[in-house]
Formats: sequence, structure tokens, C-alpha cells
Amino acid sequence: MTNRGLYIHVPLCTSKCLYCDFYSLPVAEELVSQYLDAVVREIRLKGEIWGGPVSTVYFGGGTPSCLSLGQVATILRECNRFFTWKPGSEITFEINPNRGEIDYLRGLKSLGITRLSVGLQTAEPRHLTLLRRQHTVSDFYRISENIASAGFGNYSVDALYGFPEQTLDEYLCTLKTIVSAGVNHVSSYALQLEPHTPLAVEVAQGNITLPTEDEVADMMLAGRDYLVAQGLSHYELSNFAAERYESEHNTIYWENEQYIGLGPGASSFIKGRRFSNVDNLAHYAILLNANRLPVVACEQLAGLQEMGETMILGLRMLRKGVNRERFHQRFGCDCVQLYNRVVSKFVAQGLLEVTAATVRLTARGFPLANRVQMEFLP
Amino acid sequence: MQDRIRNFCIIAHIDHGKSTLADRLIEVTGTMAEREMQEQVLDSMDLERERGITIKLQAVRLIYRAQNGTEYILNLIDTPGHVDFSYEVSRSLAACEGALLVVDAVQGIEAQTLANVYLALDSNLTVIPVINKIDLPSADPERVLREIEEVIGLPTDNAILCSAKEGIGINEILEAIVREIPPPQGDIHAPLQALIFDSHYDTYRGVISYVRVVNGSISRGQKIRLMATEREYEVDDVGVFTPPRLPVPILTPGMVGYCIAGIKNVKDTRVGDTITGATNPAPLALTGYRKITPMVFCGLYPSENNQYDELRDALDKLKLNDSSLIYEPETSEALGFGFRCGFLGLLHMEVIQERLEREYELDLVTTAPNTLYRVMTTSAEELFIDNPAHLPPSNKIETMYEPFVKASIIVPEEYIGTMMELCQERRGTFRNMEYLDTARVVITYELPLSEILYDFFDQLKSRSRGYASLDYELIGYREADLVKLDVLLNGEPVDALSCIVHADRAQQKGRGLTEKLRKIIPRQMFDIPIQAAVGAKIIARETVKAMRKDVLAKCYGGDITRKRKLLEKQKEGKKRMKQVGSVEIPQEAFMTILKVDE
Repeated sequence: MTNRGLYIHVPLCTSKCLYCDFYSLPVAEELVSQYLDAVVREIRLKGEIWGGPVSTVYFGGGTPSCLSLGQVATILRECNRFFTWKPGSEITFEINPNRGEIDYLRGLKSLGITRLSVGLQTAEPRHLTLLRRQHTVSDFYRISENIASAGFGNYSVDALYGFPEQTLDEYLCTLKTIVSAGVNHVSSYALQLEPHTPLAVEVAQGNITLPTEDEVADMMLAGRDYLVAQGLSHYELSNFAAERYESEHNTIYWENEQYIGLGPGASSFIKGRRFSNVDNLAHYAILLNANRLPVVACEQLAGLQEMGETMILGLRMLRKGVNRERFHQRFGCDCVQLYNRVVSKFVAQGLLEVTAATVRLTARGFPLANRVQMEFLP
Repeated sequence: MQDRIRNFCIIAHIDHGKSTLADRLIEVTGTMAEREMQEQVLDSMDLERERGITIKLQAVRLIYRAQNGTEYILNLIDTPGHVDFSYEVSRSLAACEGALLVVDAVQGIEAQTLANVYLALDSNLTVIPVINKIDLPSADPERVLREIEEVIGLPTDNAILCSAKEGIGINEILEAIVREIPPPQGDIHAPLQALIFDSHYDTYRGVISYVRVVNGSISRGQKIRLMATEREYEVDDVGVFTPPRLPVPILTPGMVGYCIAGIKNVKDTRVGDTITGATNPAPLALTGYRKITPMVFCGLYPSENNQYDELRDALDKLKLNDSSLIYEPETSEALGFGFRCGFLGLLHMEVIQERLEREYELDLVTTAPNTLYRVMTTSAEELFIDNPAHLPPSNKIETMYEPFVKASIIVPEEYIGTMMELCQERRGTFRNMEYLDTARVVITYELPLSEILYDFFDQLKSRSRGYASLDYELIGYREADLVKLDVLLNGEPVDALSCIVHADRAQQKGRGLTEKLRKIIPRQMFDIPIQAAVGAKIIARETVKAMRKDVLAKCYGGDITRKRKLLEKQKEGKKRMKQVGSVEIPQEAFMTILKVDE
């Protein structure tokens, strides 16, 4: 059996960040318990159908750290009734820097969480306020210290760049703060202006200006150079890791393998079919109370579509790239032959490289990944 | 029978209430029950209703019992009010004996009304002045009547004051039509002569010709001949417009109606042609219309090359009832296969484009419009150039000429200064200024037609807060110092971006154009130099820097579909662009030249 991931979405947030367009709910007692009841039902329902071994578990959000230890325990216990994982499997938990109490972290550790992903975004106090993040820079120092004390060896931090008012130096400064905190994984990604977010409104009204494409490109490249110089490998378009600390769960997505998503708005990919759950908690709960899967969109991928997505996702991995052997096993053909015209065009332009084992983006190619990836769409 | 027919049209400026008046006439005569009436029956195209303008001719038959007890047939033939469509106006005038001149009681006479009323008087039509909107508080019918007398020189003793909106004066208008407009002449026993004044294509019935019978008669089963093409057909059906088509047994002199004769090929009927009998044909065709030469040209290309045939068919069909539209195939290196189309003016061009896109669901790329240039070559050859790309090299050109117009602008006196400024900027020569009344003037300028094509009308409106109205007529070609401005992308000239400009303006235009293109052309994988050149000389240069970053952020929670859709959208956007050499150009770039600020 190939790798399979289990994703649990926690759509709770104490407040909405300036740039966020995901469905989220305020942390209110009745909403949390409604969520918990419903997600437990979903675990049972999906567990009956797709239960069995998984290789990774991931709590994402939203803000999973809005949950108490007891609530996390309930979810994990229920998952364990239907899904099994080997001891030592990667179990990631996204956490806000302001949940750095040592007891909370120790508790997560004892529940079996192996990897923490901290949503710092920026270490510049002015920017934390601007982005409406609910934590301070000293929260980050504390959580980093306590993560080490609690014994988590696998520690990732998110950093955001290309947002309003941010300079290149300030971004590099954030990266420096992160690296000094003893992380072994960094997700560094550019802000994307999503319509209908408070940020989009401010930009449209002219109150806030976004940095230019060139400024963002400078941050991307300088940030990459810095992290690589610190010994982290740029293994995926927006991810950097020390040796052996690459995210296993996310690798499942990038290798276009299967995953089961739980919680409002969560996506799943099972046996060539993509599902997504309804994102509204009330609707989600009603469907589950009626013993129905809370699925609102389901798409069976046609052959060429699945192959195209395998290429598009695989190209996100800058070291591994698309594994030609595995592609062949899965689809019965060689991807270089299948996409001969596109591949040779980009090889000639120096954006792709092909080896016996893999097809991947070059150092010149990764900043223009979309240009390459879109050509693999059916 | 014939003496109980009255054929008339309505002349009015946009917004002066022509359509509302027509609706009222239809309603009062009971031609349509109220519930059947859609507001403004005659403007049947969506486009006409949206823009509040009339583009196409329409005809409707009204049955009216006059106060003398006799029942009359009143044929109303609609006329467009915009400057571009004087050709259509001349067509409807040829089918009528009289016209209602509708003038807004607040606004007074506008430039286009003047032009059309002169056309009507030249065609010996009886003109009845109608002052509309007298219900408005600011109405000043006395002033407007004075304007009509003084400016047009038309007596106003028979003028009617009305409010089409409120239904005031409608019966008086109907009585005046019966009383003042002469019945049609014509001999039912003479050989058939019927004027085709419009036509349209019906998928089921073929070509439907709108006709006005002048002499003789036309009925089902009759063998007819189209005099221009000399082709013969058998009549399937004749009838009148109520406005829906209503079959009648026979159309006799003076009658306005339709004729269907199994004509499948759009090109076989020509608007302005005469229908006669296959046996006993008339010796002469009726006088057609004042033929108007299209003066505005642009390239129309399907944005998907496989839509070329559909575009040709659509143009064929539009041509059927718009004989002023001309087109011929052309090829552009940048845009592939398309058509060079000639129009009466800018509005006409816009209307055709919109109809092609809406009614025929075509996706088009349009090049910037230009006029028809006259060129004398060094070998004393005379050429007419409708596409800048076809201009001979400058060393082969002896002299160039461009069309000039006489423009009349009617405007309140406080805008005289701004209007003159605008005309001076556009290389205009002042000719005359006359007061219409104490507050309004007619300013007359001579201007190159090409200067009117670029944003002139919008400027006119915005600089006069919407008060100015414009009419223009061609006054011929004049010598001008013109050059061809080429645009090079990545060192390669792009034929569809070339334009002809006045030599003094080339530098300025070139700079504006390259700057605008730099903003419109998205960054690509390499630097793209944009150059403007006159001959071999580069006069302006800009660069679109190579794209440096195009990456989607991480996949939140495995939502791959969302990522894929973003990529699909991006790819779709890329596909809509035109590939010229190695450069991708957005379609709107080809209209850029229109929007260059000077």
C-alpha cells in the first residue's frame, strides 16, 4: 500500500487575519462542541468506509491550537478506532505562537503529536499588528524555548513575505529570528491577494499598496539564498528543511497520493476522486447528524487529468521532482515521452531538467513554476 | 384606396422622444393592445433598447379613423437619429411623402436634427413640426418654435405641441398627418416598381425584403425580377407590418410591406434595388439612395482562428440589411485571417462589433480604426489606402491626402471656448460661428476625419457636460504631411499595430503608444523591447522586463482543485492572447492607439 494521509481541519480562529479568505469560526463554547460532535461523527462515517492504515496525521486550520488538550485527545482517540499508524509516524499540529504554555506543549507531546508547525508569519511587531495576528514576537521566543523543553525535535515555522509595507531587510530579519529559534523546517510563502478579504478591500480603496512584482521576487530569491546558506534545503517551492525533516504529510499531496480530509471544508483524494466537505459548520453538522457524508463536491479525475496533476504537483518538489519510475508504475507510460513537446520546450529554455530518474524544475525554473506547470493541464 | 394611405417618418435627435411618440401613435390607433406593447416597440434590437438609439429601420402600419369618418392607413417608417446613420435616414425618406420633425421643448434643435431635416426638405417631403415634452416644467415651446423658423426656415403655423409621455396632442398629430401629408402617387396599372428599403434574413423563410410599392402591384405567385441583379423569383408571400408580419393578398401603389420570394442568398437582394415584374418589366429602376462611402475602416479578426467562417457568414447576414457595411478578407501576420471592414462612422463600427459579438456569439479582436487615405505615388499612380500596413514606402509616395469634414457643433455659449480649444488641438480650422438664440451657438470647423475618430465625440461630450451635439459631413480630401508609425515588439514589426499619423505628431504618438503598450503587455519569460518607428528611425522605446516570479503558494490542506483552477484560469488568459513571433499580446492592445493621451 502506498502512503495515505489523514487531515483534520479545525476551522476555529480567535480572530480573522487581514489576508485570510478561509472559512473560520470564532471560538465560542457551543460552536466548539458542535464542531467536536460533528467531526467525531465524520471520523466514524469515513472510518467505516476508508478506515485502515495511514502514514501521517495533520491537524490544520484555522487554528487547531484553539482546541484544548482534552478535545485534541477526543479527536485522536476516535481516529485511532478506525485508522491506524505506526509508532513514530509524523503527526503534525499547527499552533499559534500564543499557545506556548509548557503544559499545553507537553500535553500535545504525550498525545502523540510529533511535529509542531508554528504560524509566526513575521517577527516584526508593526507587521503583526497590521496583519491582525494575535501574538507577539516574545510569544514566539517563549514557544520556541518550550517546544525544545517539551522534547519536540521536529519543529516548523511559517513565514510570509510580499505583504504591504514589508521591506526585504525586514523579511530577512524574520527568517533570521526563525532560524535562530532552532527550527528544522520553514514554510516561506508569498502573500496572495484573495478577493473579498479585508486586505483586498483596503487595497481596492487605496489605503494599502502591495509591493511590486520585482520587490516580491527579490524577497523570494534573497530569502531562499539565506535559508539555503543556513543549511536548509529548498526541497519544495515554498518549503525548506534540514536533512530528513521534510514534511511527510505534505509530500503525500505533492506526490498526488491519497488523503482523507475531515472537518468543514476539508478536501480528500481517494482512489482517483477528489472530494470536498461543505465548509459551513451548521450544514456540516446537519448532514452528519443525518448520517450523511458532508461532501459537496466530488470529481472523478480522468486519466489525463490525474497524470497532469501528478506532474503539476510533482514539479513543486525541487529535489525529488516527478519520479519517472513511479509515474510509469501508476499510469503505464513514461511522463517524458507523454509530455515530450512541453518537456523539451522547457528543457531547451533551461526551466526543466530531465534525468533518468526524474523531471524537475531548475534553479532558473522554480520562480516561474506556474508557466511550466500550466502546460501540463489537460 | 391609394388616397387613404399616408407614408411618413419621424425625424428627431436622440432622447427627444421619437420612440415614445411612435409607441403612443401605435397605442392610440389600437394597432397593438396595451399588454402586447413592450416599451418602445420599434427599437427591437436589444442593443437599440439598451443604448436608447435607433439603428435599423422598422416599419409599422397604423389604421386610423379620422374625424372626417374615413379610415386611413398610416405607414410609419422609423429613422435612426445618429450622425453615422444618415444613410439609413435617406432610405426611409425615399419611402415617405412626409415627416414629423420632433424637437424637445427643453433642448431645442440639435446638430443632427438639422442635418436630417435638410435631407427631408431636399427630398420634397412635407414636414410637420412637433414640439415634444411640453409637460416638463422647463419646457419653452415658444423659443423652440422660433428656432425652427429662424434656423431651419420652416413655417410653424401648423406646428403641434405635444407630450408623448403624457399622451397630449397625439390625436392632433394623427389628424395633421392625414390632412397635411399628400397621399402617394403611382399607377396600379403601370409596370411594377417597388423600392427595397430594407431587408433581413429569416432562417426559415430566407430573405424578407421591406418594400414600398411605387407603381403596379405585387401579389403571391407573381414572377418578379430584381433589377440590379436581374435575377427572377416567384413571390411566396406579401404582407404588412402590424408590427408583426400580417399577410395580405396584394400590395398596391403607396403601400409599405414585405415581400418573401424564396431568396436564399443574402447577396441577391440589395437594399435600394427595384423589384419589377418578370413579365412586363418597368423600363427604369427607381432612383436608389444617396450612396455613402464608408470612411472608417478597421480589421476584424476572430480571436479563435477557427471562427473565421462563422465571422464571414455573420458579416454576410449583417450586410443584407446594412448595405453601408463593406468588408473584404485580409491577412495579418499578427492576427491571422480576418476582414478589413468599412463603416460610416465610429458608432456604426461599434454597433457592428457588438452585434457580431452578441447576436452571432463571436469573440473578436479589433484593430484601431483609420480613415481612407489617398496616395499619389511617384509613378503618378493613385491609391486608396484603407489599411496602414498597405501604405507604400515613403520614397514611393509623392503626396498623401486625408479626408476632411465640416463639423457643426451646437453648444451653449459658455462652452464656446472649450469647444474651440478641442477643435484646435485636433488640427481644426475655424470657419464660422452663429447664434441660434441668445444662449446657443453653432460652431463650424473643418477637421481631418482621422481626428474625429480618436475619442473626439467623448471629449466633446465631457468637455461640454453633455450639452454639445455634433454633426459632420465630408468635404473632400486635402493634402497632409502624413507618415506611417510602426510598432516593433522584440525587434519585429507588428502589422496590426501600425497607424498613419501627422508627421508633427509622430513623436508624441509614438511615445504615448509605447508607454501604453508597456502597461498592457504582461511580463513574459524574457525582456521585450517595444519600439515606435517612422521608416527606419526609432522614435520611442520602452521595455517590458522579463517576468521574475510566477509561483503559487503552498497547498493549504490538500486543496489541489483550487490550485488547479488558478492555473487553468491563468492558462485561459494566456490562450486569449495573440502570439506574434515569440511575444504574447493581449487582444485589447490592438485598440491601444485609440486611447493614447496626447
